[in-house]
Amino acid sequence: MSDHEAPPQMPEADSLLLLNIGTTHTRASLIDIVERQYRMVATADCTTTADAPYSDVGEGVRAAMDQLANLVGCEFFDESGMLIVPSRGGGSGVDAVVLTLSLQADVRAALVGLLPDISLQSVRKLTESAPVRVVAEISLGDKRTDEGRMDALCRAKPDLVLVAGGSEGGASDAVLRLMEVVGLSIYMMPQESKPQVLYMGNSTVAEKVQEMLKGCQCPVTVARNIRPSVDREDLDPGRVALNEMTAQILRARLGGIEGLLAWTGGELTPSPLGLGTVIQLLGRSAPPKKGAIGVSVGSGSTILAAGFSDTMELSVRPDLNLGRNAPLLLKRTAWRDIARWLPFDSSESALTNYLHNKSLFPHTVPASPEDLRIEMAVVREMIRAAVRTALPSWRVPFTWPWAGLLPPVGCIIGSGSALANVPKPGYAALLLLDALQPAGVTNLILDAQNMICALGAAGRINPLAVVQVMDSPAFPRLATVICPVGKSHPGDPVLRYRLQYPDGRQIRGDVRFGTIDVAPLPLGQKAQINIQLHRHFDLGLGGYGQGANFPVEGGLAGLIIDARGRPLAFESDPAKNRKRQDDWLTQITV
Amino acid sequence: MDLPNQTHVSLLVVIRRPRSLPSRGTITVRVNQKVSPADVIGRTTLAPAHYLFDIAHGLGLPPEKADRYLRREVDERVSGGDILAGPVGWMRRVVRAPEEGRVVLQGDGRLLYEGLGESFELRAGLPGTVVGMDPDIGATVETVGALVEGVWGNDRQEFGVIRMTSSGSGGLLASSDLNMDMRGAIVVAGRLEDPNIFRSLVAVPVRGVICGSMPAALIPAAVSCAIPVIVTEGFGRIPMNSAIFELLSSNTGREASLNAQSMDSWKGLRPEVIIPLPAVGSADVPAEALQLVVGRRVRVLRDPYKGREGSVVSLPEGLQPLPNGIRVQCADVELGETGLVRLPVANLDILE
Repeated sequence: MSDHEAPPQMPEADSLLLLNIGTTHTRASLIDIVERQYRMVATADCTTTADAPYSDVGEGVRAAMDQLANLVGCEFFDESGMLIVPSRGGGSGVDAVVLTLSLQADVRAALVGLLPDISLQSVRKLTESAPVRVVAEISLGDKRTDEGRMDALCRAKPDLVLVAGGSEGGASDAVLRLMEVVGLSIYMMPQESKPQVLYMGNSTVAEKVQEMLKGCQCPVTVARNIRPSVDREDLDPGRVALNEMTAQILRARLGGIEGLLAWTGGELTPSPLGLGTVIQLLGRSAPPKKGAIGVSVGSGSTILAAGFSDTMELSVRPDLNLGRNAPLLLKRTAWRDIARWLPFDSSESALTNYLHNKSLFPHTVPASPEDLRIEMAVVREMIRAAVRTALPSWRVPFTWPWAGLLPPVGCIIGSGSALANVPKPGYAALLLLDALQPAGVTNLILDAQNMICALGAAGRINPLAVVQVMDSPAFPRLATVICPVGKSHPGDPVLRYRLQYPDGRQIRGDVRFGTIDVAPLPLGQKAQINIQLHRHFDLGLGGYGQGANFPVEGGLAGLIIDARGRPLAFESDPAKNRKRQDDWLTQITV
Repeated sequence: MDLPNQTHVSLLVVIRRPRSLPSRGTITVRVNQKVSPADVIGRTTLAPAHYLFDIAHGLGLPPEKADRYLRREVDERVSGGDILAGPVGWMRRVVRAPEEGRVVLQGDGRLLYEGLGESFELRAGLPGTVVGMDPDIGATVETVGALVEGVWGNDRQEFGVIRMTSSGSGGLLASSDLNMDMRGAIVVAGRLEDPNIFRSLVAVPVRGVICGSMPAALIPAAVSCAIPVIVTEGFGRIPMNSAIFELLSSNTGREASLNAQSMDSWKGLRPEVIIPLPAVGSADVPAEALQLVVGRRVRVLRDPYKGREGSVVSLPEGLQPLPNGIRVQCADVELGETGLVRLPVANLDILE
């Protein structure tokens, strides 16, 4: 820096305490300025104490904070046990606190729409972006009488009623007729179990709807029309409102949360929105015609976020989790699809038992090598099931040549204990490659501290901290991965590369179909790669057979060339397939 | 920091169990009243049907005139067939109640009516004394006895005498092991595997079954089985742990309350066996939120050694590597014949 350059402006809130209450674990992270950059200084965790006998999430938070204080040698509380805000000299206290919630709780949603294939379908899609369970659906097209619709709503005992219907300036009488059914149903529900209503229909009758529901004594939120016209869908405002309402419901159910909210000024961010915020940011800054993807697999849900230019897609799947709903995976995927990732023989009964036992004890960890491989196979299929459902509805503002595969992405961020707590980084890289099957050139990033959701929520207070922490060791690059699209026979040539290091050294490699090649390029090291691609393969660099010369950066697992082809093919002979699984893990963790 | 799981396997404790109606209703017992397991302690109605009457249309009048012929007050109880509105004109047109119920709302020529719904009776479920109540919702029953918590149940309740089968803690219960001595009893077995076993148990008939494990594939059959089924260890081929097996064996011939309720960690609900016992000396409520300390009796929740029982020998500091390479907080546990093994704290369950 020259003498004339002014030092960069640092924001007021220097230190940030990030708290994330998950289904099984509560985490506390401290972000502070280290050498003029925001860094995640340390993270500590404790079992979540939402369940009986504790029934107080504050206990787990304080235990995690105590550990964190020991790790960094600071004090968060004063002599009277109050949180020190703002920070004082000598490392005591913090300047701001951010709280996110990824706890699985049974939030029941009833969906109401005019037409099953239009407004109701949009509401259905909206529910995929929040941790809710659909317990009833009613529409004017469902062939029930009004009484039948009322019975369905009352019996469902919803926590939320999500209403859509009528394009802007379109149907209004039909919307009001449907709302009368909703209003009468809510009127009959006991006061202590009246649901909240989110109205996302024709805005010209929004006031009338609020007026109609006044006598029902239920909170009503109005968001922008989710279906402003038959051919246009606008999910974003409804998504934010739905997640905030879900957080409110959880807030009312969680013991000890009020004390924590006093630290955050009442702010509580649902984890999916936190992840979505980060991915949206990365999607905007991705290279042209590329986006960003984030995936988090936990005991509460699988969250998939995708950002392309200005669009953000968010999919929350409480039915795909490593907790109470683990057995539901077998309703979304066949047991053989899980077993194909295993290097040993397994059976339907073994995998069914595994998933049911996991649902009984979600907090347990794999202790044997076989158990670890099963858990990772389960996570692969959970991610695949989430992608399978979400991908067709993503709004990608560019076309890409690989039908059925992900759009090109600049980076993929993996989060969750199953990815962060692995024996070697290659395990996490292989899991992401298998589950998402990215094509072209992509960076795999690991959320090593499981704090990406809380970090995204911190963007509200301090966006600079988010950007700088994302670029810190808390989010190490797992690898730059080069994944050609195409098919061939095992052993056939796919590409030839030359990697040139800054000191002039060079290494060369020939990569054969069906294998994974790892070039030695450690975390943070940069190099230039020259690729000559076989004519049957495409890297998105100008067409089939088009190679290129471009800079690459290394990661924890090196530089990975995944020459297994896309889409990934499996051997029909189970024994050969099992051997392949072992070979791939060996190749990537070499 | 991992807080360990905990399962009660208690020889003699004070047990308080809240019993709640699924929706507001009437509680029919009072505090200090003695109750038996089958006693009805509350009643309510479930899933009432709703009727929306267009009174104006029914009476052939404009809405503003029809309101004059409404015959019932809001919330008034009405029998099936009673007149809700009318009579009007020489045809004496009326609108009648379709079933017993109440008027919810009326006006503008319309009337919303709620039927009575199915009746629901809440039973005490265990012998004891009512020690607390919420007049519209539920009551708390207290008893003294042994308590065993399971991990899975099929949402049924029963009360009966405990009978051990010949299968032992790890053996398989076959239909041929069942005999007429088991009629009306709660049967204890190591494992279940035969998909037809539930049919055989109901045919005897027994009042309930407690097993160490069963394949998850049997869940649908167990859920549709008319008697309560409690699993104490998990799914697969896991023997019943010795602490639970011995406690149940030592209470053979005693009456037990079986509540095979689903596990709900938020509410702290688990399937459970309560064996009422005469209060000898002082019994206390079961200890909760115990810390993992050296000497603590634990069982293993996950492979390898799943279902095995042992005691904690030491708690190494920091994260320790496991055979699969991951690093977690661990405890060294003496597992009987297997000897000393290092296991993740997260995979241990304190037996207390």
